[in-house]
Amino acid sequence: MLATIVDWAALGTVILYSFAGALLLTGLFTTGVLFIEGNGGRASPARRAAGALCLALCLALVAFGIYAMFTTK
Amino acid sequence: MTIDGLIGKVLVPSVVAPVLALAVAASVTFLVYRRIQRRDPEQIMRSFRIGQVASASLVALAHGTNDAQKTMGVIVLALVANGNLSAGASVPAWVIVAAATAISLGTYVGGWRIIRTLGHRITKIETPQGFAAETSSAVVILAASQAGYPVSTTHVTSGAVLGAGLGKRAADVRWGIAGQMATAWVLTIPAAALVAGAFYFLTEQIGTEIAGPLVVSILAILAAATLFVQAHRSSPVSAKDV
Repeated sequence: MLATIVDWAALGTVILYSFAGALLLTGLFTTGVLFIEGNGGRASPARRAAGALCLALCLALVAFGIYAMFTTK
Repeated sequence: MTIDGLIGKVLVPSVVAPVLALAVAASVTFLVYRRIQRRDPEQIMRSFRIGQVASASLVALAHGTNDAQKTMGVIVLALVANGNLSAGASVPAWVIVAAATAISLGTYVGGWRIIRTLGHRITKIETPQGFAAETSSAVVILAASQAGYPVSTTHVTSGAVLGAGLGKRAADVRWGIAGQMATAWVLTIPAAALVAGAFYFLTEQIGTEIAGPLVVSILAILAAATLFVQAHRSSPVSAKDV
């Protein structure tokens, strides 16, 4: 009965987006933090730039998600 | 809405969302801890604390996109049913302001007991776990909102906190508390249906014009105030307990 009344495609999309979104956001943030913090000492400028890029991508992803929500009502 | 719609669009997503949040948060927490395990904890915690402010803000946004819409939906439904609003009309501004105000007020006055349960009693949450749980909750709620599924922020966040506990190796998850929480999840939906049914019956008996809704509203406010005062008198929970 459930097979016919539940929109499994929509539910599957929610599951897929949830895993992808959470993994991407936390992955980018963690990578950015690890690059910027360095390991024991101060990170090199290149690593700091890479870290900043990861954090900026993380922010851009959130901003894009919010934009997509507002424009696809 | 038919019973099929109720099951397919409300009940199934309501059950799936907390389990999904648990799975997502457990995976994310596991991966985050794998990556940070060899780093200086103090340094890492400071950065994740900043991340947690951002992820908590994202949960607040997600809360507004789903829970606030449900509140507004019920008010609009009542307005349409009573003929104050035509079907298909946009939501009046006062409804949006009233729903936002009520939710903000509830967030302001009611938090510490739930914060203590989620942050300490299910499992002791560290900053990276909090970040992972909040990000997972926010993403699950936003994805559900986009698909048009009404889900509970409380249920999703609780599932994510449990997942954050499971995802960290050697973290102590108190299954007794988690079981109590799951029982509460199961009971809240039929309990809400029963209360709504009782209030509807009472309104019909007293009169559906002004008297019934007025008496029922006063009763509802009194019941909420009594519960609030009782909770604060018997075992008050404040910021010091968290």
